[in-house]
Amino acid sequence: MEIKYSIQGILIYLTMTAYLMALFARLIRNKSFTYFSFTLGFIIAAISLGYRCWHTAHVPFQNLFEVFLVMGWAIYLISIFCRKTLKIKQTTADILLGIIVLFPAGFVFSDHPQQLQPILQSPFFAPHVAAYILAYIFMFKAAIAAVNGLFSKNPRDLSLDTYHLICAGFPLLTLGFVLGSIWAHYAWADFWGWDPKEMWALTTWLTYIAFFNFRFITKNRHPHINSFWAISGLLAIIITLLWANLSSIFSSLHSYAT
Amino acid sequence: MIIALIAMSVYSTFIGAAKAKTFFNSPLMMVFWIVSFLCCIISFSFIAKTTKSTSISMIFIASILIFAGWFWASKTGHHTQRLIFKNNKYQSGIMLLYQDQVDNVYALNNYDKFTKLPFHVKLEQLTIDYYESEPNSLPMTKEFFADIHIIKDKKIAHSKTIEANKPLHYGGYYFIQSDSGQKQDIPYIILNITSDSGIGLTFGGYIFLCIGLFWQLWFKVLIKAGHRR
Repeated sequence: MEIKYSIQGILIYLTMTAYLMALFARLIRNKSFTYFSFTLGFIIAAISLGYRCWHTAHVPFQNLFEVFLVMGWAIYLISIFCRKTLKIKQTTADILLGIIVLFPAGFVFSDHPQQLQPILQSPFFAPHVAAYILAYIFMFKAAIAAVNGLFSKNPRDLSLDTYHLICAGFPLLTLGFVLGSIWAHYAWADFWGWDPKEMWALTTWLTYIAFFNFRFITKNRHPHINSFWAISGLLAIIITLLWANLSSIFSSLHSYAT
Repeated sequence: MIIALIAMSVYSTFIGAAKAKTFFNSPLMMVFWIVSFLCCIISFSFIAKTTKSTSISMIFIASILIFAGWFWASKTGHHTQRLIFKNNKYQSGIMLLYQDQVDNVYALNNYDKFTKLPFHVKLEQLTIDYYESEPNSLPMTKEFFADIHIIKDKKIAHSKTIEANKPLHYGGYYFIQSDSGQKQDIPYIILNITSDSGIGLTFGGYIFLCIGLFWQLWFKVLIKAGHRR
């Protein structure tokens, strides 16, 4: 764990502070200050991303530091989309999620700029990672709704939230998966390499397929088991994003993503 | 079926890519794939009848196309192609090529067996650009370019510069540079040669899958849900 004294680090800590202020305001039920602080955090996160782009001269999707940085910014947009369009209100969870995803960027991963390897200089690079980042945030939110559903007296309502959030995230997850496969075809002349990272991505995708199948077959009569699938999907995402990249157990072609 | 596939996917992550490829291409797994394929077709005919939804039909057609494409691109698929079409096409192999060398022989299965392409390949020139490196550190490759000629009937039939994410596609094969170096001052590259069989089916399936999923989940389920709430 390290504290960053760079401009990038300071911008991350300012975003986290704004999000913490929003969380505090939420807890004391001050609605206007909650949204003000959350929006302020989003603006600082946008400046932080812009600075990163300028500093590295490429889109900030290269490594886990940059992926978490983008997640900390995108959570605000997805929170608004869910509130306004899907009518799913999870503001406290969204703010907390913003702080959680910025923590590894602020304290764990190095912000040392890296040059882009030839294989990453592809038109598929940005859309592939962007689709996955957005999908992961939707699935994170779905798992939060699923956990709430497990302890709720009315799990059916929260099960519907979980379903709608997975409906929002799953096409993006599939798009990320498909773009990755097409990119692999052009980069390695093989659209499927049986690499551990690819297999974990397939496991994640299949877990959500199991969610849809189970929900369809049982006609949503077992919301607790639906919740189990949504939480399992999140576990698979965490393994795909972190364990498959960082662990020495899996020797992966995707090692540049660390 | 899905739970079994999840379990096998998790298992395969621990055994590494090479063993996972062998495992999923084994004769026993071929039986599993065929049963899965048949299940997909039966589910499709049942669901298409009951829901009459175009988007769901697209998702099922996508699954069938992807299954078919993966099979046709697999080792067993290539074995089937050799039996039916009497051709000499293999799934993948590697070729070592020195600058100015002309060759058509490439190695299969980690140099266990060699076979020939129906044309010759020549490495005209190899260029590698590096990023500016810090003192005492190895420079990182910025870009590489391999000028390749395809020679057929002693004439240049096709030329292309291979670079990252831009393979050469000719005569049913893709050629990418998997490694390069110098031996006795002569530059060489190792070309990864992969058959293009099944790519069209798989990518067609991918397009159907994405359109079907966005249509069904975003434009049907979510828009309806937004109006209802």
